[in-house]
Amino acid sequence: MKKILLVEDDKSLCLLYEEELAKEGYEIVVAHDAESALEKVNAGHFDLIITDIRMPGKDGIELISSIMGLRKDIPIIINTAYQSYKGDFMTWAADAYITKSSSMDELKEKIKDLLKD
Amino acid sequence: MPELRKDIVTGRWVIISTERSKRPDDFRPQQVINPDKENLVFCPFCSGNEAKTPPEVFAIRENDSSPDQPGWKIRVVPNKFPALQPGPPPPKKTKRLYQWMEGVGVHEVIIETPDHKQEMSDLPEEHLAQILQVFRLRTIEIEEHFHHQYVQIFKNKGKEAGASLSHPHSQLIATPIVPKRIKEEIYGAERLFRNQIRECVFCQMIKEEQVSGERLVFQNDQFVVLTPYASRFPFEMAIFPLNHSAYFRKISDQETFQLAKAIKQALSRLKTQLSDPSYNLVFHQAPNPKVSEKAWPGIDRYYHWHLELLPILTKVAGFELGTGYYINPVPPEVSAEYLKKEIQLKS
Amino acid sequence: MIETYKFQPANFNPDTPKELVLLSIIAQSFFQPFSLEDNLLVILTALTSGAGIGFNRAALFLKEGDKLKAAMWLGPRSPEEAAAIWTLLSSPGIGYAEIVEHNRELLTRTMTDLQPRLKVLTYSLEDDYFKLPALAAKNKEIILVKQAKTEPAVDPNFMDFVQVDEFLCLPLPAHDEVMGIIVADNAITHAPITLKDIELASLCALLAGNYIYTTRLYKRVVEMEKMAALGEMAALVSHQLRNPIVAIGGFTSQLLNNPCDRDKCQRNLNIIQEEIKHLENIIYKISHFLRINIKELVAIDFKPIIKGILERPDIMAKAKDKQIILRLPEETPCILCDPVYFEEAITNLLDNALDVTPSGGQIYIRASQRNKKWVTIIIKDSGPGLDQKAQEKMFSPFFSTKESGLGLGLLFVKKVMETCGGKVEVKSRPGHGAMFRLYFLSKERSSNNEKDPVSRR
Repeated sequence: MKKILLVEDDKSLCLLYEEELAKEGYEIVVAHDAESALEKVNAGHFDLIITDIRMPGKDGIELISSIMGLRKDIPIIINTAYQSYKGDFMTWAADAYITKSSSMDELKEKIKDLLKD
Repeated sequence: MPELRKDIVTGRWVIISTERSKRPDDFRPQQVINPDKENLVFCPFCSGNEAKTPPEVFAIRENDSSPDQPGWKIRVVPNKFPALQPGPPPPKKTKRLYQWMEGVGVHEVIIETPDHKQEMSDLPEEHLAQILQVFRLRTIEIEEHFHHQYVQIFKNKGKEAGASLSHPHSQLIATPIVPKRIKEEIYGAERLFRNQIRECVFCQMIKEEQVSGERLVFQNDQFVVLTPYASRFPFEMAIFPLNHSAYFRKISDQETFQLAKAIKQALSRLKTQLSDPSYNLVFHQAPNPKVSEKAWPGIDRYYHWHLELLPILTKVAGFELGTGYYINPVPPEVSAEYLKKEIQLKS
Repeated sequence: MIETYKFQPANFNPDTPKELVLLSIIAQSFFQPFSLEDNLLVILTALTSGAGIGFNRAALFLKEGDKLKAAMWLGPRSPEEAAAIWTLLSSPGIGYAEIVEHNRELLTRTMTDLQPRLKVLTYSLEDDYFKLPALAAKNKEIILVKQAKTEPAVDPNFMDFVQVDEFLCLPLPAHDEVMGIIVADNAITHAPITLKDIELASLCALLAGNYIYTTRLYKRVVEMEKMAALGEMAALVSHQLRNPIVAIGGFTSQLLNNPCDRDKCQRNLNIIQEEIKHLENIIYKISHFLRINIKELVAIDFKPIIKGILERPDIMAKAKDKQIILRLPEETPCILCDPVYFEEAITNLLDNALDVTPSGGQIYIRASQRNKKWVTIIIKDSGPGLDQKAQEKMFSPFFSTKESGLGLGLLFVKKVMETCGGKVEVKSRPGHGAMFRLYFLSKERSSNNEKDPVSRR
């Protein structure tokens, strides 16, 4: 079973994503901020990481840059309410940039896509 | 007494403060922190991280290297996360995820060198000339499509200029419409051409500047670097080809080399005299010929392509009033004086 | 020895030189905060009142875009009306203020009649050939027209309107532009327009040009600030709304796919309800904030209001494990504010203070009479404090150090303070809590509680 790390500070959304992605057959581990996310990445293996950008403390862009320093090969999806970060080339450390929407279809598609290869 | 100057082409008004009592130190910016906070370890543009960029559309690379692998000297990739289309992108049909962009516009990043720290001002002339060639070739290819009406080529260096990464790069954006400010320039140039003695107003201006010399920073066989009469910002520079042409894409190989030299001069002086400020370097060229020939017939007689170099200084800055007036506290003649000082460059 | 004088309106006795009177009239209009109408009226008044220059009538044309449009017209319409007005205006005791007030009324009355006729007097500034009076604008020259009825360069429509033989066209210059023109004549008295008249009138014209230019500039700046703030707000609001909407959408989808799981149903509906409340909260805060509408400022005794806040259940719940220390001396005077908004502002600050103060921490609320003018109320917390950057941004919309906070609270407080003539200051250092000092205008306790109308915004 593929293991996904979800980095998201909004508790309702965490619950939603956890349930929906578990239904798709993934094992979900949740971190509510960048610090704990990094600890988890250091401690274990993940097949994919989904992260928000705006979080208390370090933001998602710093997080993915730090992850690149550890393991370059983990696919990363940025999942954020903000379009504006697309202008920041640092986001290229991720493999996909999804704007949060009430339908999870795009996110599920992208996960399937990135876990395929 | 402040002086009001008008840019005759764009019609912009600038209020220039003519007090000359500025000392060199007044212009040097405070120490600026490098844009990508040095503790960030990852750079998607660096050699070795090609997998993190979209597949390249063009590259100048060593003979035995493959696309999307190290071994390149200059690399062009499309924007990985374009913001051009609202809503989700159409379902991908091929493996090249980013080709849907072509329907709407183009946004490409030109990674100037594999070396993260080697700035454009420090590149060998030959390398810089190759970058200019790349600009030209991309423009020609992109302008094959009629709906790519205008190609903007620009470079942001430094956080203040809007650069999100410090790895040297330029960008090329093709839009389905001609931007307003370019239209203003074209209309302005055309009107002056029509009302004056039927000569390109830019050519006239270049001749005058060469004679007066007080705003001349540098010149070589093919290019002139000067501080415009109605400069909006302190140390603003413009680089003009001596050979009249509306289209950058028509530049000759020889001119390309001379342009590289001129750009290098301009950037190096900026870096040395003003302690490495952030800047925007922007190409001003005529729109796609397929469009210009219909919308502005004869544009090649009155429009003259050029570069604008806008340094962003923190200590002594200009600003724009709500009315569209600019206030520039440093007269362009004073700027030119500082920038005239020759720098010994390693070519 | 020191002698002090107050700024006085000039008294118009016959010996006062006309120039002085003129400048005095116009200078006084600076007291009006950028009301373009008023200022222009003052200039026309200066031109037409016997106490000013003494033209009989004056018309103002304003440049709007590429057209010159008739905007204002001042002057009696007939000799009889003129006689009546001037008798009134030259009565003893009538000063500048009265004249302007009178003209304002006159203007309102006459403009409605004249409006349709004035509309015709619109000139395009793009034309190649200009007629008078617009010609003055084109050439930026003062033009005195004599024997106007036979002068071919005069616009026949204009002649129709003024029906006078001699008139003066004054362009109103500013920077490199012309903001409009004023046309003045002596249709009633038929007095010839002298060089002296022209000199004085040109002074008026310069000032008028500048006024119009500056007012338009100012308006644009205000507009742009509004637009910028609005744009900022719009972007931030839509982002704030996204998370709750995504949650609602997602959990609703789940329910639709799986309507029979009762436990899930219950839980999801609860979450959806919470998120909707969250959305409502956001919307309420925004609309409430935008609608600060303090109509009257009253002298209020703030002490019972503050004590009342401390007894609110939500505040008491938050304050359970913390200490609130009150110091509201009896002799502190009343303050000028709206009681409802005052309560909201204090509640806001207290709420914030309670949120950031750790368990066992203390919050101080202290009032004091700082000096004759100000009463200050201080709210100090023992939270983590704010750094310089946060302090700079804290009054901007949506600033919040809390993840779920919408951050309009401080801006609301600032607006309330501004509206009641006071201000708010913050002092803080990281690690040393934050202190908010509110300055209120002190108002002596008066038995009939006079109300101060808030100046029209």
